Amino acid sequence: MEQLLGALHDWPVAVAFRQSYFAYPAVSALHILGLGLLVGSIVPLDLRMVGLFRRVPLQPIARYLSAASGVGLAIAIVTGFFLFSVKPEEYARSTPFLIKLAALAVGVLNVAILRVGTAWRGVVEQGVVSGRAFTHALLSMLCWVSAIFAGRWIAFILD
Amino acid sequence: MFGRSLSVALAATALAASAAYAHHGWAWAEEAVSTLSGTVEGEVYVGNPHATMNVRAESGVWFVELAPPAGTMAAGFVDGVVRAGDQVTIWGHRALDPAERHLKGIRVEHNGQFYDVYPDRVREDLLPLTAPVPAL
Repeated sequence: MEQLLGALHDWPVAVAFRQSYFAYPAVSALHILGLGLLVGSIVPLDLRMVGLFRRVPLQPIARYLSAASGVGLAIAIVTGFFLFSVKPEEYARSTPFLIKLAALAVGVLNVAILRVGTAWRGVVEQGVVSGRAFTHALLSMLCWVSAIFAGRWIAFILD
Repeated sequence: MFGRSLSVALAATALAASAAYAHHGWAWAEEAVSTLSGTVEGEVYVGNPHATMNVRAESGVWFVELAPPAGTMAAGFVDGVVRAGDQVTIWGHRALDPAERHLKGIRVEHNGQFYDVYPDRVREDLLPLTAPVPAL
């Protein structure tokens, strides 16, 4: 693991990125864009699935919001990798960073489990939220909101 | 009616925020400037999100945060200029919490050379001072 982090640290792209004037703030901005798109689409869907805003029809928006959040997540992961490459050893030691990774892992696992079961089909085909789908939606909000809080804390605990 | 009072409130907030930005330091740090003289310990990091180093003084080891590359590199504070074991003096804003040895540096002195990594803050917070700056 340490060798891997060391190799990432010495990776020429990471070296250049570490010293960059414009690339780093630009990638930070894209990371925020990714988070905004992720949370901005998954939280409204999750809230609808746990029973709020019932006047909004669930069936037509479920796939769309879910896909949008997937794009946001992909942007966040790619940009996050570059932001991580600046100080890999330090971030790997940072407790909030590890909490964020855990929240991210549980969040991804949560959606993966929802997708393989029949609960998701009920949502996108009939707009019906089963008990299982309800639980997945609650867990989803918990994971993504926790990931954002833990992520923001990295900057304030790291030293 | 509501729209108007909302825009007045927004304008007032923006004004207050810009005034705060112009005259205050970082939220977690003191407004006053202090100096820290000591020996650099360990690696000096120059890069994003900002440069950092540890400085051993009589009061203990301080964690010093400097500026992002736009500030450090423009000031000539690049990789290799300051190394472990070197003597430095930092001017900056210390953390509000007195238990924390954490300093946001705006100027570094090393071998008689000054590196103003936050030149605007040096101009606004440091140069107008007439009394000597307290040492940490």
